[in-house]
Amino acid sequence: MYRYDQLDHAFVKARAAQFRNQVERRLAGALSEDEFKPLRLQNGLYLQLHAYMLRVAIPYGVLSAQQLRGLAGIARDFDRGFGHFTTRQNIQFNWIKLVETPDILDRLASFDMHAIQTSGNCIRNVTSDPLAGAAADELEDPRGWCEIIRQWSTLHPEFAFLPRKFKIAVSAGIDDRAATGFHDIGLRMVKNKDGQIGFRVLVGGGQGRTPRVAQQIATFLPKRHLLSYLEAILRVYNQAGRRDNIYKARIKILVEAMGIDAFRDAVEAEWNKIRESAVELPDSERDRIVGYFAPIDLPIITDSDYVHDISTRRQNDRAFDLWMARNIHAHWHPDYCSVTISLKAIDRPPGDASAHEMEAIADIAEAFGQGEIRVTYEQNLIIPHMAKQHLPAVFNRLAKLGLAGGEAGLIGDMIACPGLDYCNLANARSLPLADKIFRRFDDADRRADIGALRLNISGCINACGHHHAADIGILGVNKKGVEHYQITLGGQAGEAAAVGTIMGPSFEEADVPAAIERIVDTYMDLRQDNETFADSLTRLGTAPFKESLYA
Amino acid sequence: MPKTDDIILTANRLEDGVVLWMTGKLDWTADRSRAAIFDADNAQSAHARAEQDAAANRIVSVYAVAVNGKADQSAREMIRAAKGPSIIPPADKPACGSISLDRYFHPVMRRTSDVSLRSA
Repeated sequence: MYRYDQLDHAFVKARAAQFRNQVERRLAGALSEDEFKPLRLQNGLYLQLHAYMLRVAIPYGVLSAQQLRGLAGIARDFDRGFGHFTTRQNIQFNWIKLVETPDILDRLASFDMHAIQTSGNCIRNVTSDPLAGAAADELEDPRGWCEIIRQWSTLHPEFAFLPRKFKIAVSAGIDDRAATGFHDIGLRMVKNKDGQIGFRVLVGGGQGRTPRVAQQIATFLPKRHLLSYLEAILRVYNQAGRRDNIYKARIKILVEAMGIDAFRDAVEAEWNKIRESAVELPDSERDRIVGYFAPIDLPIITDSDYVHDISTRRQNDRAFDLWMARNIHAHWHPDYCSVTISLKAIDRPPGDASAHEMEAIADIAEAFGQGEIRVTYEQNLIIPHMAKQHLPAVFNRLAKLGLAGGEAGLIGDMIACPGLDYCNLANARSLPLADKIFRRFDDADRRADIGALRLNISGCINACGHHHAADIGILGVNKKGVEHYQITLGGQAGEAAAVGTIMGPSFEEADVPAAIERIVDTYMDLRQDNETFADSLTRLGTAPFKESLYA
Repeated sequence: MPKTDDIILTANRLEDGVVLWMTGKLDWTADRSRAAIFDADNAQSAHARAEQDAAANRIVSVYAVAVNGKADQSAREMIRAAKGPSIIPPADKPACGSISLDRYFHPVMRRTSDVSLRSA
């Protein structure tokens, strides 16, 4: 993991002190709300439906056990005892007092965290593969590059007031687990024909009211040019992106208006001016940062009795068997794995975890893993680098916490935004609907039989619940003052990123679970062999699903 | 029966974001049931008071909700009035002992995929 040096410590402490002064001036009336709002947003503080909400950055989704305990402490001491993990691998606290926020930022700084660049029209927290450094299928650990981008972009003076927010994701696995196709810039680590590792660069992806899949701007970018190339893209966007209309200000609109070829030409022209300049990262600095993410030293497990024990338990314990099948991920070391801890269940808003649960997960990560936790795009947590021999004990611990269910990647593993229960922008609630759908499919055997299926819910067109990128997407809309829900089919967030297609008129909330069930039943009736839902939809098209939906 | 131009005024307290409504005495309450309905004649003085309080850094995000039988009964306003979400957030307390997993798992479980415990 990256560790703060003296400069980092001094920086986040100074930033917290600066915000303390700004809050004092706001409360004293020296700053108006119009003057203060951009300052609080630069520190991740929103005013939501019930209170202030603080979004804390979790760089590329990596937490130490100590940091997770620290977040639990903030939840308990300054909030209502829980936090909400987001698709951008951050955490949000929903019941924050403005007057206490400076103390929270001080507390965060004490365990090397902050809330900088979690809001505002700047380069936001960089996201990545939650299995980075632990996956069996990655070319190299992308976290060093995420950290380099973080340090380059943090308070970058030229990019502090972009036309709109700007999101970058980096992934190095064969599977894209960071939804790079739906980011302003998506970076996929690839190997060229000479065997060198570099970046395939995607640009102009995003969701919201104008969902677009990112287009390829560079097939292979050598690593040493990463920052100068990113800087060139940002410069073109900063100069040519629209500032007259908030709904047309994202880079996806600019890329579409110019066309990817013209946009590429503009970036190349800018890049030729700055490449081989001071913007390029010196090798020594690159090596220093990447060195923090050197492969972890994991001993070989010589005692293999656990293989038989696990096999036997899987045959006799259906819950353990399903957990093994869905929530355990292959590791580059054959004796180890990574474990998804699902934050999805009946009566649990997707992505929510109590302070006690966070502390218990930190304990498990220290006792059985390497003291590290990851936050996933799907709003779950992962403990990486877990010796497989510990899996039965870990399952037992999670079961006592009520965290051993919720199979990763099945229909219950829903992404949902906070929706109208918390959010000032929402048109409709997401969380109660997620619960009703989970209850509709409250049969693990049935969920397993349905197989891989992503169902995402957004409470408004801003699409924080990533409904565009789901096999089944649900969008909350306000229809004459009543919450309604529109259904889309065929979205994908991974390698074959795609935007879902709207099926037709929206449904009232009470009718949505049955509508979802009709879609799923249609798939179950028509699927062939081992087809996933996405496979069947590709083969059949939307017609039979639409027919069942509106029958 | 409310008239179509009747309103209530709502805002958030600056220091902690608590949701407030204006009372008939032109002060603020966190209790929705004490919110006053202002007709067209009284709305101007209510708005003026709200502007004063915003300028005095006591409240932020002031807006009027039309009391026409719909707007103040919207899900948004009902959730604000309830002072919390319509779902139950996680409670911060230790789990007491082992819980039954029956609610999560059907008696007959099919294996959908597998994971290698040890590579060859």
